[in-house]
Amino acid sequence: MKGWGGPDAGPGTGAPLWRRVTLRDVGVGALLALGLILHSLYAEHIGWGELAALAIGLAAGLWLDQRRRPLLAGDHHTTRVVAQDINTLRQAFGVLQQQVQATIRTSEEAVMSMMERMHRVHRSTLDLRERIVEAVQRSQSLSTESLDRAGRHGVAISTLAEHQARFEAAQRENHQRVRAVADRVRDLEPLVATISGISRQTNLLAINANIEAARAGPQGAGFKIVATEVRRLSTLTADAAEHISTGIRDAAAAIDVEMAAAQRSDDEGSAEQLGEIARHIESMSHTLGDVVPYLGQLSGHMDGGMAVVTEDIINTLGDMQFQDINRQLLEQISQALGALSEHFAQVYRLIDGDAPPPPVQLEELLARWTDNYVMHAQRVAHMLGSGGTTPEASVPVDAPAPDSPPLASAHGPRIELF
Amino acid sequence: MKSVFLVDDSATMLMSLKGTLEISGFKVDTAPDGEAALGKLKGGLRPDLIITDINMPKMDGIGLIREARKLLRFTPILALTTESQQARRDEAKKNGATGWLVKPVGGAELVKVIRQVLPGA
Repeated sequence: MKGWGGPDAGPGTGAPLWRRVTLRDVGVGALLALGLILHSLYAEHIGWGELAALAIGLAAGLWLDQRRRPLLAGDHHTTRVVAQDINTLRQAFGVLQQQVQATIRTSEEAVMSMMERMHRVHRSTLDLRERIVEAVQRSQSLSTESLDRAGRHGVAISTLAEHQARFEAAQRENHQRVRAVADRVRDLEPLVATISGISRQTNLLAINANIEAARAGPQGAGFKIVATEVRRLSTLTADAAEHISTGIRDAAAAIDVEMAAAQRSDDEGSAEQLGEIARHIESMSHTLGDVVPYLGQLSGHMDGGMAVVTEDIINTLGDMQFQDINRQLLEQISQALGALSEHFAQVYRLIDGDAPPPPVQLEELLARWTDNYVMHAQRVAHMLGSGGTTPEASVPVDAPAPDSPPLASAHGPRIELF
Repeated sequence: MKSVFLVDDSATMLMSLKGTLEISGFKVDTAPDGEAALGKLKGGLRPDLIITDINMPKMDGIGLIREARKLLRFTPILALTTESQQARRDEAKKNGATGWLVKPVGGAELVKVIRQVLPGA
């Protein structure tokens, strides 16, 4: 094995040739020399072919030895450096492990949050569905009830219309008959005037007869008695005419009163039916009055439910940012693993003597990883993984944020408006 | 309707933010890096608000903020990033950023911040 690592020794190229001669080299030379001696002494038994076979076997053995050389066969410096890198490798794996755990934690928290929100959306949707079903059922009930009421109103109005038509026809006939009777009664009034006129003429005749009886003297006494009777008859006739006139007026007035009463009766019948309809309409109005606040309440519930669902969806979309965070965490882990792989490939080639040592040792390489960190979680994971401790480590600053601002991490506010 | 221009190299982020903002009533345009975003701005895109990631290929968020500020003097620009270094935050502020948001930011919380910088939105 070639020596390496020392600034004065160089990686297998600067040492003098004699310092690189090993016991193995001496042994191989001795075997070859022994072969040649034996060939010169016993040429009939050990020919060139046997010597060539010995040489090929030695070469094959040396080549195989190159492939399975023990690591500790090198010099102490190489051993020390490789041992140090292996020791640091534990820290490197620790850092990577912490970063993977941070990634897992971020994923878990985001996914849990998303699942919780999805459950809430589901519950809200079910609640809204129940309210919609309830509203539909209530609407159907109201619709049926309204249709029923409307049907009954229609029947009532039709009946009322028929009644009204019959009442109006009968009323017209009655009015005509009564008016005819009243007219006939009023037609009697001129007879009263005639009777009154006869009474006046009779009275005048009685006065004249009385005058003539007085002029006739005792011969006219009987005539005077007749005149007196005629006058009394005239007075009675006048009184009778007055009574007849009063009777006719009273009868006409009574007919008018009766007609008015009949009219009122008809009106009251209509009013009763109209009152019935008004009560139905009022009942419908109350029903509709109940519906309006119910619809308002339902609308409010729907708006509230939709607002909850919308906010949950928005926040679930926000939770999806964890993918971007994990992508960056995993990219960093991937780069670190790549650097580790390259580093140890070079260490392996170095052990083989086929390459110079890596430009930096693993400890420095590990420190350089921090240059690529952008998230506080990465720095915390590095501290934890490399054996350090930090009070900030307990603060999952890059975990999904709670809903309520303001949020602050160990490195300033999460949201800052300049 | 106010318009928001989202710039991020993560397709997931763009999808998440676009969905959040469209549900909240914003018109959204997107770009996958600073260079593409600047191209759109130079092409005449005039959003009411720009939200940009910081660590992006081609042109990073700080560069975009610097160049966008030359074109849009008064348009608010928010940085939405996983970057937690105070120096980067200060650099963004110096170049004209309006605010700094560390991912992840809840959807409702983001909309609240946007309405703070875009009164009437």
